Amino acid sequence: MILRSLILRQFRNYEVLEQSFTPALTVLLGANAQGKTSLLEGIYLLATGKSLRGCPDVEMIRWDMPAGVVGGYVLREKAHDVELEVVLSQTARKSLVVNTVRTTRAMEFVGQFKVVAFSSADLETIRGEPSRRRRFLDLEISQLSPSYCHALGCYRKILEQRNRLLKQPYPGNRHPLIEDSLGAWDDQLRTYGSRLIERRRQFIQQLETFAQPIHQTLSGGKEQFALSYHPTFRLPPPAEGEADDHEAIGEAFRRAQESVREEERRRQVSLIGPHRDDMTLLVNGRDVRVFGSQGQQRTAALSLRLAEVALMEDLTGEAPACLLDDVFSELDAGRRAHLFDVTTERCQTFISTTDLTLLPGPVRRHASLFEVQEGTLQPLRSE
Amino acid sequence: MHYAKPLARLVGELEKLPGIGPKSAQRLAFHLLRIPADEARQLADAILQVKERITACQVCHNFTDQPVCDLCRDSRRDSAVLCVVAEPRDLLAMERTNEFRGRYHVLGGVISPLEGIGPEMLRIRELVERIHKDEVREVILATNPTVEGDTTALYLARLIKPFGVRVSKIAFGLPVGGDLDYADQATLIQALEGRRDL
Ligand SMILES: [Zn+2]
Repeated sequence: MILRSLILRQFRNYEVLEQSFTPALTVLLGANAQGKTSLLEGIYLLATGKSLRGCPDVEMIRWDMPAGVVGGYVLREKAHDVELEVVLSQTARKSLVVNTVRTTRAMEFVGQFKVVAFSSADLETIRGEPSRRRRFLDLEISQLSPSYCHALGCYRKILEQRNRLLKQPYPGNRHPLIEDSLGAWDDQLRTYGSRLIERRRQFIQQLETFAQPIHQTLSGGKEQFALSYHPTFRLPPPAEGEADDHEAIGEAFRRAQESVREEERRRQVSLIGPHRDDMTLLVNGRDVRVFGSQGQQRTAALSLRLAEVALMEDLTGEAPACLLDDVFSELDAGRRAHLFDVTTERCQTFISTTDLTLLPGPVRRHASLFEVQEGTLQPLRSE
Repeated sequence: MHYAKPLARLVGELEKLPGIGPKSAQRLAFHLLRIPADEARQLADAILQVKERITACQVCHNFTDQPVCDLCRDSRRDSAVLCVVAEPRDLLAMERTNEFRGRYHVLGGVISPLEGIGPEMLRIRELVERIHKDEVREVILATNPTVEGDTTALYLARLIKPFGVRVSKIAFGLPVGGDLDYADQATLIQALEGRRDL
């Protein structure tokens, strides 16, 4: 997938930017807070509909402006080329636009353009709270699966409704015909929750397959990498047929719901479901979050992202675009070279850096270089 | 913008209407200024009449100017088949298909704890009484395909099924997350035909 052109209007510190890009490598050079990461964030927004930094939508609008726009034209091999636009507003919900038509559902937008973003925040995915890893799973699977994206939106709404219901005291003068609606919300939570769990388990297993050899290479053959999924209840082993799998997960989910019903009433919050899942990254059989050195955690983060590139290409038949946001200073020369090889060889790649000398010589010669200064781009001559 | 007082009052009232911003309110007000006095009186009268004469049907809770609405009094309609909708506008949407020959029940909303709406605030007790009194054989749930609409349908299915009534839900062909009253007729006919048991 190739982002042919990008338009930013009143986005972060950009007033107006219209820029076309090469299918190969683009390097954004500049001091901090000039707009390098913001440009990458604009690209990421076109892929996921979400901020790269996990910010609320309105924070991406230029200071004091009522609205901001990010637009892009994407060339695709396996589908028609597509024009994407995100309109952010201070007062209204954001609009996600595909080929000038505003979509009613995020699932029609997310994943039209696929992107893998490498950033220093990836380390937090490894060592931070479980919510970081759930966010990782949700963002990546949503790009690959519109039905996951849709189920996720429904699940969040159901969870919010159900938690509110749990906080309401029982009305005393209930009519005998009118029973509590909690059972209906349980069914809904289970229906959509099971879909998320099924897809997460599958994704984690696929990702592990690609991450294992990558991690071996990165660690010079010294480390064995593995991923394991931790839902809030014990899952039945994967079944042969997909339908059976779905039913078995739903049944285990139902039993788990029953076992915590009293506790949920007491604590007034939903305790069972994918909103409390976690994923463990294991290096040589040990949880890298708890027992890993910072070096091991960085390698694990890199393995995970590189595996994502490979998995996306494997599943869709087309390489995603890659965003590398200031990640080189933290990596040694060997890992830097590996990261360059994998991303720039097959993917359109955007790199932000404060220091050109961190990039290998050949890469510097082939890249189109820009200097980013106060929300403007100046082309620099390649070496 | 400085208006003469009566004009300012009209603009102010129009701005309170849904979907009407300051600009539209101004345009409508200037339009009303230009029309003949008779026409203006008719509009004012129509608004008052609606407020004075329209009430909820005692049986189905659709809007009507009589105690019981035309649909409920139409003896050619099958009272053993009930179509349950959230709002009167959904009933109108179903009627536009000309396919459904049973009767209706308007709930007056959908279950939504976030908005403080529980099943006890909808006309569910009345629905259960109707099912027993009219010997209803089949209930078709036609709530919007949103999270709240689907949950309301599930809730009703759990409640009604033990009475030995056939319960189905329209599903086929409706855009997920959309509004029933925006769906075109072909889609709704398909939805009615493709209804499923719960
Ligand atoms: Zn009626």
